[in-house]
Amino acid sequence: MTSLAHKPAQQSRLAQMGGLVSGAAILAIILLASLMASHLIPYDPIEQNLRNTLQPPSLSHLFGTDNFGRDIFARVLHAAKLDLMIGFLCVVFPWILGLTLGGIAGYFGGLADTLIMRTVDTFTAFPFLIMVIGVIAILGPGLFGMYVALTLAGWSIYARIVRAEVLVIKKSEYILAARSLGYGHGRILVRHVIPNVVTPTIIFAMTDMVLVILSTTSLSFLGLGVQPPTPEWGVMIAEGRGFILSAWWMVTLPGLAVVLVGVALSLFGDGIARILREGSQA
Amino acid sequence: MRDAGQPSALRPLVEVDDLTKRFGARGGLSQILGAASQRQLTAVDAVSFQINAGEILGLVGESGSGKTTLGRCLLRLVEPSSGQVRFDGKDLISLSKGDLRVARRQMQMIFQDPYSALNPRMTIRQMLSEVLRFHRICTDAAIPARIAELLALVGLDQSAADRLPRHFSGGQRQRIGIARALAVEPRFIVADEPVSAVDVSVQAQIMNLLLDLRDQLGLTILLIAHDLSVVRYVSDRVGVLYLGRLVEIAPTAQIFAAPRHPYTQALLRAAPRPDPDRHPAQPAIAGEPPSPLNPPPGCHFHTRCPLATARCKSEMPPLQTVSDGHQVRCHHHDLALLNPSPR
Repeated sequence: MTSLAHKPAQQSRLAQMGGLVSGAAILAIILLASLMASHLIPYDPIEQNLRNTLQPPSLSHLFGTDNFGRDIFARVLHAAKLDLMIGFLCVVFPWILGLTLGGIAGYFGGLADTLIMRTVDTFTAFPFLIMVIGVIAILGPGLFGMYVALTLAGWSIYARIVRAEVLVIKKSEYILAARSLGYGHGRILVRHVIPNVVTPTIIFAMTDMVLVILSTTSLSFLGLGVQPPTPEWGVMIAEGRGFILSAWWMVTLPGLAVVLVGVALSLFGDGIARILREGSQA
Repeated sequence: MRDAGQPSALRPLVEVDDLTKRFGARGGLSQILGAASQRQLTAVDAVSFQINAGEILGLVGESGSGKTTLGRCLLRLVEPSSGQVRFDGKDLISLSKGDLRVARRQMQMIFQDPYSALNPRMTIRQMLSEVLRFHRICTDAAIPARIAELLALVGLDQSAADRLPRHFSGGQRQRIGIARALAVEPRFIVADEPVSAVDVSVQAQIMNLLLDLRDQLGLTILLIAHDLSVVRYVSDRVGVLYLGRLVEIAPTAQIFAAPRHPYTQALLRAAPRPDPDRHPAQPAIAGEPPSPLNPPPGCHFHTRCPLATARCKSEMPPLQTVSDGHQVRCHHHDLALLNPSPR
């Protein structure tokens, strides 16, 4: 059945596996190092040492120290935990919300569809960051506000994707078969519709995660997200901004950490997305 | 428009009375603009017939003739606009949701497209166990044995159980669809063009399977098809639909030997025959079927009928009994009989 498409598929499989494996490896190393950061590095990420400020990178301080004498490598590693967790949760929450509401809108149609999709329209009408900053302005800066804001700003795209897919799936004969077997709406939606629409949402979620991590660091940079002295890359870049000419490492090295995680997530997400796409095509 | 007595002594299992389904633009803009913009499509137009227990009734019609809608109305997958469907003497249309769920154990559907009829994310075992568990057909411990039994019944290998639908051919998928329908041990099955999407070589196998199952399990089957050749060898009786109306219904031998409706005759002439010396002299039916949104008045077929007269354009012919078990909806069915029979 697929003998014609076999060769190029195999070639691209190697290429995509390379991306997937290297992305996963980088993420695994970062995560592992971050979880064991307190064992790897003898310095505390928060405790200040005012006699050791603004040291350039050296063997004892790999990434140098900041204006309070804290080891930047320790802070970057500790921050990875938090940033990856926020990135993950701020994709999972909108995903769940979008999947539920989009599924209901597409499956039941009618009034539910109108109400949900007009709400989606309202949410999409706001630019992403304006929306996020607006919500944080109401709830106050901090982790909780950021979770809520990123969830509210992110769910509408998932709802759109899911609804469109459900509209196609619900016309297929296996849904009719499920109805003729007497299954209730809940069972049909959960067991027969949703499993057949998740693939495109996961593919989107993989790219969304990069965006969310960048937003997290941006918000913290602006002072709206994670608050100092908690180590977080955006917070660290903000703190180093004043020293960019005299102590380049304070801004650059946390910045590079963001870039590295972004690239790793992209590679990993692309690989996963391609595997899922091929799986759903077969 | 009640049926005038069936020839068979068997009790009808399914009785359809004046069943009508209209589709109309509902809600939204058209409602705001008023009823003037409403266009109604009568997919099934006052159809009445009966199916006896253990019988296979073939139902034939062009695409758009309402045969799929009719089949779905019988199972209440589509809510009929009016009319009655009685199953084993009980009125199906007035059933509550809970009673309908129970009734659904008695009647199942086999679908047209085996590629979209199976949930691509469920293995055959998951699919069948869900049915068995949901309807409490057997105890959890007995489920594997029942699945093996079902697979054997439709002629599939036992190894099929743990695979996903994408690993099967069209014919095998159709067998899986049949197994799923049989899982609830139904008495009545609506087979909606079960072979139109599978290879010709597999069509005969599936039809034979349906015949075997009828004999083995005593099933009653409504077999929907778009051409007569499919239903010829398996149906006990054949009904012909045209634009939502039942135009002729008769025992199979009779309808092929002496069709009384000009449309049935044309359908028979149009059937391809494997005879290279026989050239199609003229198109069997002139023109396209009229739009069901705007059907012609009187007899729907008058626009394409060789026998049409002024009366046909204004007056809808009633379904008349012309011989035992043979009913036809035509003013000129006597003339039609004189018309050279195609076979």
